[in-house]
Amino acid sequence: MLTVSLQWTASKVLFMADSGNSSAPPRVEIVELPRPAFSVSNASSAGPHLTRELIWQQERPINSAVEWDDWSNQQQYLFLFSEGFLIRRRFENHIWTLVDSTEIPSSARRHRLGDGEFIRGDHPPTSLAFLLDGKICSTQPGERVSFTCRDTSIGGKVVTITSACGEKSQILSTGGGDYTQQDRITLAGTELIRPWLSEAEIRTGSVELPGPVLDDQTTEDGKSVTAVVRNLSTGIYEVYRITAVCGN
Amino acid sequence: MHPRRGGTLRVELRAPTVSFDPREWKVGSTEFATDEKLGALVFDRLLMLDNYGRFQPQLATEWSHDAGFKKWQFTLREGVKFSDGSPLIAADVLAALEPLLPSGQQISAAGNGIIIQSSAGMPDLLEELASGRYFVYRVQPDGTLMGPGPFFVAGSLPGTGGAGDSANSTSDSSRTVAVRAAAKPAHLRFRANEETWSGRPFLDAIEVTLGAPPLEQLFDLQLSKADLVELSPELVRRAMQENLRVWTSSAATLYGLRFDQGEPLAAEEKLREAFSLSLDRQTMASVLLQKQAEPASALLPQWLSGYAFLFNMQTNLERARELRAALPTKAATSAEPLRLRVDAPGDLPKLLGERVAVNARQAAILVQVVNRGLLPTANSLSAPSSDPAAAVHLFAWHYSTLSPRLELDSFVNFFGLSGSNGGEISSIDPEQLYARERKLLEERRVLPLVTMPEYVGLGANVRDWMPARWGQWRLADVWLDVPESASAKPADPQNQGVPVAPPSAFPGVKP
Repeated sequence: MLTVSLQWTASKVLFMADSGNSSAPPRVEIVELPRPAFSVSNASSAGPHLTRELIWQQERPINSAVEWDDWSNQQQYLFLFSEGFLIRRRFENHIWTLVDSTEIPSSARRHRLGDGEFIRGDHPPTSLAFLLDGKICSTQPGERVSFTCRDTSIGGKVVTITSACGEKSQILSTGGGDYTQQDRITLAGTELIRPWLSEAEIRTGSVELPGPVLDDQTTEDGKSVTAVVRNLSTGIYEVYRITAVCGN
Repeated sequence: MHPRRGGTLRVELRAPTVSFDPREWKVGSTEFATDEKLGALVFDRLLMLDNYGRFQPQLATEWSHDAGFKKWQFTLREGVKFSDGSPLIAADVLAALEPLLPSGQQISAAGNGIIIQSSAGMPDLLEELASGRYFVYRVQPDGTLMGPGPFFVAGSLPGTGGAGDSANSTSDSSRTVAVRAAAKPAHLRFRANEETWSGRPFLDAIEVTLGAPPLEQLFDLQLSKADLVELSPELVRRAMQENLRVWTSSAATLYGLRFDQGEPLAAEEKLREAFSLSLDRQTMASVLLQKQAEPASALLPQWLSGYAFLFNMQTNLERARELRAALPTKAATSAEPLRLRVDAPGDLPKLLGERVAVNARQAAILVQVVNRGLLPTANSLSAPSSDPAAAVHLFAWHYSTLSPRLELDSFVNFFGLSGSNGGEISSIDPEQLYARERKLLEERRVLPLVTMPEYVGLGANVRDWMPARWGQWRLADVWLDVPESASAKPADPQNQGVPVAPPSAFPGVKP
């Protein structure tokens, strides 16, 4: 009898075929490859619901990300905080092309992922704002990337977006787990005081994500949220666009 | 929930001693696990293997090899500093790794990088360098070691009071810390390295208590007097029943039997086969060890070799008795019992030894179990020829590398099994590796019994505990969910960013 199997070790995947019987030792053929990465996906629910769209992924850690449409020059940007750098990418020919980056001073990098977290700025937005080491900083998206900072007390992870379903802004919230757990982004209603949600409401009014949400930011037009997720199945850092839509 | 900075992680370990000198670490010994875990706080490797099977840059940012895997070139990360602020240079890496690399592998410095080469191919060099003793350190003029890692040893305290204090050896906190079993536990304090290349760890400090008895560790975890403890296998069920967080690694330690070829009885091939067939590994794992261990039919675990499941060690008492009957009448009877010495420390190996004796008796093989004397300086692995009076030894072998070839080589060399097995192998070919292990098992000079994982008990406030399943703890990524007021105040940030190029290409695609 020929038995074919797939085996994982810490660093390899082994494709194995062994043939043998009780009277003879098995003859084994093994082909070894580096372990590939596997990803999983989850379907979204029906009714008033959220959709998700993967817009960027990379192996290096992403601390925070935000999309930015610059109406002055008709450009679409993706800003990322990654390993101590503020990075600007521009959407060109269906690719997020690296434009430039600036290093965060080491004295302002407080932990291993680096630091930096984008936040909603003024409305209408004139500059891109982010938190860095307890200070609020800003950069001009259309100009070469650099930033200035001032003291602030901003904090918290609940974000709001506008929705085609009604006039009021919708509140979105992440779960309370740490970086070892999967997370979800949930529609938490329209009131700033977070309402109690039943399990069914959470199930139908949320999108599951394949890992912890490291960061979520409202886009400058207020219509969607850009979420950074570390996929626990693959270890890849992923950026999702979360949008509130009506009906199916 | 975002990570918070600050706090002190309180760790309790069973080991009474710890060495901070990778050159002294005994590959395969159970002490190695403790040495490596604490060493990883202070030192860094050139690269690491993540939980998804990908090699990630650490002190080396790039690497390449020739077509035959005989020459590897590593580019070192720029701007890395040791804990005293001095820069890491290629000569440091050369000096650190040279005494650690296996014979046949030569290392040299080349600009801002190093070259490792060998006459034989080294396709598993990355696995080798991402594990085991291959840390980068610098020996200081006073003989102590310094690293570029996320923490540094800020001090050590011997146990206070007690009769055994004078025996404590803590004079060299950066190298070896020891406490006599009779003394109260020694404490080690690690502080966050603000300047480490990988970013400051979340924790301000880690406080390690050495020589903590297993039951005391469990109580301290329950009473929130400790945040992270090593759980003894016999206490795991109790910890789970009390709703404590328990983490389990992959198979970390192999318990097995080794026949001493110098003993006439051990040289009897039929006796070894009968002995092997009498062993009931399933009962050892499920009843004796309360399902906290796995029966082992292979020397290397499945997570390391990928082929361990192909081996099958069946219990066959009928065949064992037949083989025994064909042996000389006096052999392994009360007139001439087979002496089994328990080399591995602790109560668990003694229990295993007694169970082995019970199994063997069912095949009419009389085994006399003798326990090893308590030697204060003894390593958990005794030299193969240290006790010629015992024909069989019960050993514990701790897996210490991510390269199955290197692990098997270390095992074979340590136990002197290479004589009948063609010496050291150079091939990483999994089929050849499988054939080699199969031959070793068929010779029955070593018999695997069970494998044991590592168990860790965690406090409820320990966050982002993301260890490697093969046992690397990665405490620099851990943080404590403590009130903000308990956290350290952040340092003043600089107000102005300076445009520079990114550190390297960021791979990514827009789907």
